[in-house]
Amino acid sequence: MKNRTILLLFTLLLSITTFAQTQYDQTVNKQVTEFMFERSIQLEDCKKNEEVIISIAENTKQFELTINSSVFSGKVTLEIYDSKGKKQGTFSVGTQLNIENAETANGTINKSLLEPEEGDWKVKIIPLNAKGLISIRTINWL
Amino acid sequence: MNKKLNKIIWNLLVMLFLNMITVFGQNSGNGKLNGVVQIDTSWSSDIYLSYIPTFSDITSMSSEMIIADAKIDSLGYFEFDLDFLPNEQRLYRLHISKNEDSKNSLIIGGLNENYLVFIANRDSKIKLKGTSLTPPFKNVIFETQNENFEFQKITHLVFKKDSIASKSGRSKRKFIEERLNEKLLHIADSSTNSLISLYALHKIDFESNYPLNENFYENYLKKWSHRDDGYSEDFRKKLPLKMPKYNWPFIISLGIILTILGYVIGKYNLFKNNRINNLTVQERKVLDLLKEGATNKEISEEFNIGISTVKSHVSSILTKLKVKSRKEIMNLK
Repeated sequence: MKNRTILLLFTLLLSITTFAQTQYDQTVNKQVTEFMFERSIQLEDCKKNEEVIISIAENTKQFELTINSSVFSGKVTLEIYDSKGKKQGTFSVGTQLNIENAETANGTINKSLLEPEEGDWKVKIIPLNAKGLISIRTINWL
Repeated sequence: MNKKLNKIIWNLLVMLFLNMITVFGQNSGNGKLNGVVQIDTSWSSDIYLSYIPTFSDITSMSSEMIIADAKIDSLGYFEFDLDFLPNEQRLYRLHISKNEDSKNSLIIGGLNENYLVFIANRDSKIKLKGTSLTPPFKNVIFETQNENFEFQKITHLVFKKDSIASKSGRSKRKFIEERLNEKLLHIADSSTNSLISLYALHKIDFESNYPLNENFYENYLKKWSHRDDGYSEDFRKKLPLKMPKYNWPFIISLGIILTILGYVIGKYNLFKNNRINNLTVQERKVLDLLKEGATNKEISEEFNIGISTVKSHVSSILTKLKVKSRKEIMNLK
């Protein structure tokens, strides 16, 4: 029964939005396709680490990554690794009080790269009794 | 005359009192941080001062890190008293928040990056000037404080690298990173301030740079071994453990000696005498004759036993002594 309760508490809700559009870019005289992905993750008293994979295709011209994190209680650390395993950024946000909604801590990281390393990039989510929301938004230009 | 003496004593007392106040003031710290930032109306007019206990916490945000707050006036001016800070130089962070965000809000990278890290203690007199609207702390000039002038040089270098790297292809980005790492290593090596030096290493990503410059990091640890603050401790903990150096000549020599020893033992059956203890009384008697080169028939006649029994004893002796032939038995001592 106890295990069941814990499992219910540690649920992690994930929603994904995708969007793609092709435009004519006059500067390079070519058709450019823009892929936008947005993942929203809800943390409910989470303790278990999670990984979100972001796949970057071989001919990606530009890559933009924005991670927003709002924590209402607990703490969450986010780490970004490129496809070669090199850490590309990290930040953590946490609340001082463990009372839910008594305070909010926000963290945002922005990264923009031309010709990023192709392959699977990873966003590692390391929560500590965290309740909050994480949004990972990526735009790839091909 | 008395009046004149009283006046002199009174003047001396006043001077002594003023001197005491000055000394007390110096001991208790009279640090100040003031400056001007350029912000538009999307930013709140509150500015926060946070204590950064380790380099990893530069990109951490929590309300417990905030130690003071102040208002930014319509001209962008703000001011903090620093007299409550510790005497030792430590890292602090200034940040502002967007109107829609909570005060505990950190934005890393992009046009809205909202923080500035600097060094201070209770006596610091820091005057800074922000010259950029987006991001507000991009081109901050420290008008006083030598430490922060050098510290800010690192921030500018990294900012410049990030900015160029975001507009460059993969190959160019690699060269830019290598060049920046060289510059940061030079700052880390030459700076006389351990916080500045460690900050430069932190920006290099020393955990992955360590295998490339192992000697540098070893010497660095020796150089700053007397520092025992949280920043140095955190650095030492994160530095990958050095691989143990094996004494290869010793290992190879030992290997050769053991091989020769094994060969000698094998060749001269040094351990075979111990196996004799496994033989029965009758087998030992047979063994003694075998060592003298006796044939099965001679052994049979000596002990008055059948040839088949002798063969059985000989076979058992060969097995127990782990030898292949009667000739080998004759060589046993």
